[in-house]
Amino acid sequence: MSERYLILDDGTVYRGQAFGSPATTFGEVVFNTSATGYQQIITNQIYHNQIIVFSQPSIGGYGIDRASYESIEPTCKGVIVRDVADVSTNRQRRLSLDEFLKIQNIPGISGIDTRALIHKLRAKGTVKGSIVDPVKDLAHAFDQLNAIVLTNQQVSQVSTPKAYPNPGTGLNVVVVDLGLKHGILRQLSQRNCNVTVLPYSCTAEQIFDLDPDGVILSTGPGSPTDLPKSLTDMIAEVEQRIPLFAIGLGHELFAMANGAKVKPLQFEHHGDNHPILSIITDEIFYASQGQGYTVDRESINRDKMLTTHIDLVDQSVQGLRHRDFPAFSVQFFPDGAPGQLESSELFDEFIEIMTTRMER
Amino acid sequence: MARTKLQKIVIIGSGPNEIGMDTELETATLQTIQELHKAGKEVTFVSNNANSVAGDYLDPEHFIISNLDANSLITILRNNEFDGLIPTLGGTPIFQLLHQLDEAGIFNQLNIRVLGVSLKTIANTQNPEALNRILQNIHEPYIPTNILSDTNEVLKFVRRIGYPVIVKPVAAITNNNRMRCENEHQLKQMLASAFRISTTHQVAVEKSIVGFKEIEMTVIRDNENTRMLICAAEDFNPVGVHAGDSIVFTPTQTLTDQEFQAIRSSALRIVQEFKIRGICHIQFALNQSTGNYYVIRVNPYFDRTTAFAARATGYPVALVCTQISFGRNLRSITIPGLRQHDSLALIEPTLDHIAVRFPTFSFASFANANQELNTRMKSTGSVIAFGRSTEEATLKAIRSVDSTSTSEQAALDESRLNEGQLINVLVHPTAGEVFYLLEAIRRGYQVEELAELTKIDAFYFYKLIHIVQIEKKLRKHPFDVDVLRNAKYYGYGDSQIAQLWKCSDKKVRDFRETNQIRPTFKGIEPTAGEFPYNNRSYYTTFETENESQISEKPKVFILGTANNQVGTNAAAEYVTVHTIQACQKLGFETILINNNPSAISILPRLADKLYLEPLTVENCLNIMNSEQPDFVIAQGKWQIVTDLETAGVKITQLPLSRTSRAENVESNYLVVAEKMEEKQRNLGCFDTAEDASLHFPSSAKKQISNKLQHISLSELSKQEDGIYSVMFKQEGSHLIVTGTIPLAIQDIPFMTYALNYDIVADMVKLILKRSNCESPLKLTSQNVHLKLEHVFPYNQLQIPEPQNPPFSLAIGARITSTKL
Repeated sequence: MSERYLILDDGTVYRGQAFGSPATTFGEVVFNTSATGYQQIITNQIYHNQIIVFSQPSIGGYGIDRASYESIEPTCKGVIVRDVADVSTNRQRRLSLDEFLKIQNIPGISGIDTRALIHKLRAKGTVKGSIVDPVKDLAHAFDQLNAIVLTNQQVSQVSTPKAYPNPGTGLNVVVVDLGLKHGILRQLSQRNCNVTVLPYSCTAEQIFDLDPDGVILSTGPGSPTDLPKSLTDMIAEVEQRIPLFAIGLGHELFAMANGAKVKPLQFEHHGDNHPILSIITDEIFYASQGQGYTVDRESINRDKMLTTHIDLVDQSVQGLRHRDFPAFSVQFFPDGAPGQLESSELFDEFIEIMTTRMER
Repeated sequence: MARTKLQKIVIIGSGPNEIGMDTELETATLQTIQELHKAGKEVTFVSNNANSVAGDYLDPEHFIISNLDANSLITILRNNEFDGLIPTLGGTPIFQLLHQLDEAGIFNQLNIRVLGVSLKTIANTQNPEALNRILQNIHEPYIPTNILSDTNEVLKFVRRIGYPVIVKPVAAITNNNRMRCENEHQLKQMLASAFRISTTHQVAVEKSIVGFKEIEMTVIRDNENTRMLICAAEDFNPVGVHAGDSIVFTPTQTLTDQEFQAIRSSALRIVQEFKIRGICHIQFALNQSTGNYYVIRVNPYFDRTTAFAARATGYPVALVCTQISFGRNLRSITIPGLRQHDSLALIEPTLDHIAVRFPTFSFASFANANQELNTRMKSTGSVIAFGRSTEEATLKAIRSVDSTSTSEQAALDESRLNEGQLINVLVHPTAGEVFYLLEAIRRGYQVEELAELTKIDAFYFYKLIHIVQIEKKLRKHPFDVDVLRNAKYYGYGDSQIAQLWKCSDKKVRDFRETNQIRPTFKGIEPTAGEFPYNNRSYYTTFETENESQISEKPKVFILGTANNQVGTNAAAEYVTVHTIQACQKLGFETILINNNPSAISILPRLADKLYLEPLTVENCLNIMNSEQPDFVIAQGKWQIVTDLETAGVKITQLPLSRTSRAENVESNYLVVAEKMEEKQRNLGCFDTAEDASLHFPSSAKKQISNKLQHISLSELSKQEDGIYSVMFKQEGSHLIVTGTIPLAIQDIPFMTYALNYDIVADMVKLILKRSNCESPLKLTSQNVHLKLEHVFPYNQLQIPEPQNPPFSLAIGARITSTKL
């Protein structure tokens, strides 16, 4: 394996070995502490523009698995790991992680002291980084890294350009794709929903015309404040008429549509080890989380919204419910993939809300 | 009427160590006692394990030595007004016993609350039929099994559960093995003979899961149904090899997230259904070709796996479970170490290292035992190793195991092991299997072939192949810096490299130093670097960041006991613990190296700093270079001590013998005598019996006793400072001194208890030249007769026990106390 460098915008250089694509890459460096599911993490569109550091020391152990895609064309900018398992191609006719990343043009670098790197990210907050070829003089590479301006139009790049169906024979659900995780579709399929996925630019009118029983606002990358106001306007209109369930970026937008503010976290949180409290049932569970932003607790209009879930580690808001409309949201990923399935019952709750409404 | 107050709590301990029971239960017990004391509870511990350390934490009236049978326990329970009993720290035989008492209504009658999990629940988990019934209720897949008496019934049952199945005659007239049947033809043939040899004309039929992957989940549930996963571990060997004899990895190496989450969800459902309060270890079998899993064991108590979970993650399992047992819940429990976020016990452990548990065997001492690995556990202990890659953890584990295995490894060339023999081992694994696998790879076996023959996941063969590739490179390029750097990065030890380079370890070490390939120490903690943590435990790796902070305090570096072998081990652990405590009292910072995941000495809050590393010269030197200790302490002389001395390390040895006292010396009496700075005194007199058992107080008549004391003192005057066993043989009225020898490690825990005197503390003072503070002897006349006997593993290894086996082959020791 050839040598490559990981450089950070604070001037740090890490030497490692190349895997995946040989391209030069730039992105925000974020770490994920999940113990399983490297493929789901890499293919999750929330990592658009980002280079993922795995705290798990060894990934690639079972190659690429056909049932573990969270998107077919991942858009993360790179993968950093201590050790990548060299599992051969013909095993169970699977691609190896290395081959997959080559096909997807995503560079990887292994042999990095990821524990040290994570300690640094914890101390510094958001850091930009680049995976580059090993040249003697890195000045140029650093210049490029410092000059790079990462797009804030991530959602427009990952959302589907055209509506498409995911047919079922049950309830009719519209999913607004902000960078959809397949896990959401999987959960709806399991519940036999007849799904239509719409681009993020869809209007309330377009949704109403489809006459759905419910609407889901999907997960997605980047900051909700970079998105056009038309989105929050759409939400404010839809929530009054149709049951709404918002997840991740969708949750942040739902909060904003109802007057709350969203603020960036000091460093992004990606993992599945934080206990989450459901305030209504007083139960504690675990779920997959991936967030760079959080709803400001103080900014929530208590007459309008109810906080339903909090993260017990940092007390951040993890769930909201509208007091007047059948609309609710969670910051974490109730569809797991990767991660715990304890909160997948939120999809059952959504089905129940839709059913009750239909029967009325 | 249950008592409302919960003040006096009794813990029933396990018996002596044996195969399948290292010191893990003792370890969890000590943590539990400490935690209960912190909560202001009064704790009593009942045990007959002669090597128990619990006595250090309890005053004599709360440390009851008793046989662990129903009558003795009932007497103890009647004589003390206990409010609560903790049943999860005694191992399987104790539950059976406690369950009997429960069924007989003893606990109700005496108003004793059973804490944590109910005995009924434990009984249900241990009875396959009851377990399956409950699993069926909650739709969790179990191994279908049935006892039937008619061929048609069997065929009907098997049609439902599918082939292959295992058939076993019930109450067979001959000793008959379980038979695996792949199809109806085989089954019919088998049934014909099985029904014939069953005295009840019955067969037990169950679905065969041999070859499935084994997964072990350690889960905690509290009193309000909050459940968290502490550790998921994956067995290297498939079902068919006892989990205790398999290499085990955490985090899981080959599970997809779907498989992992399905099993996790199942584990959480099970602890909910069984209303577990505290720890539970659940074992699963996974068929990766279908993705189906089966629940094969539910253990709602501390065991080998929970100990590994605690060490591998750094999560204080026993501390948290104790608090749960007296009513607290996870959301209000805090754990030491975590510097922020209210030290929340609820943060689910996640790792940035790979930990492996590796079984160790004592077949060198029991050459006639069958070494084939099957469903009967044969390993006498295990080691834990940490790394940042699967290769590194594996290589460290390999060099942690005893020298027998290393010589085994050396003997695997083609002249000693032909192709047929090798294939036989691949199909029927034996102790030291991994060395055969490596040899097969060297001989060019392919991954698919190996995976097919062994049913071990192909992933591990890719890793083993990588290990062999590095080995080849090392052989081909001696003293090549890049090759060396890469080999170190993937976990090769200096001594392993020296073997390949055919040079001394020192030469490798010097070459490595010259090229500045130096180790870094990383913290073992349960948040994968996400939160600032006050680390106390470390492992070595070759990366960039070094987390070990060096203090300015005077320090001692203590060599731990490593893996449990027959002979000194549990007693050596006892000595280690006492050494740590004695050094701390003298004002030293204590730094321990050890790698037995079940060891007591690696308990949190015991040594000030812990390195969980193989006890090799390389690691010891690395740690010493970094820590600069004032003393390096070892318990007597053994291999690593000699090796370190050869490497130029000055070792301060506790004057102890690692061989057993009786092997060469005949005796009837034994006087423990101490000489310090010209002052001599006898600490006590014991009787020794032919079977090497030790008795206290001595039965010697006054006159003989006086004589013994007198001679012993004069014997001592010829010796250097130290503590000795002066051995006597009586012939008529004559007393002959048959030996004045250092104390044997195996006797120390018993002697300490009998004399109520911390012998190890005196030795530590002696070797650290702090002997000016002599402790008074406070001999208490206990009015009891104490006896120390050794426990041997012959029965468990299914070989006949010889008469008076040498106690260097003992695996544990039993203490009995009889009223005089």
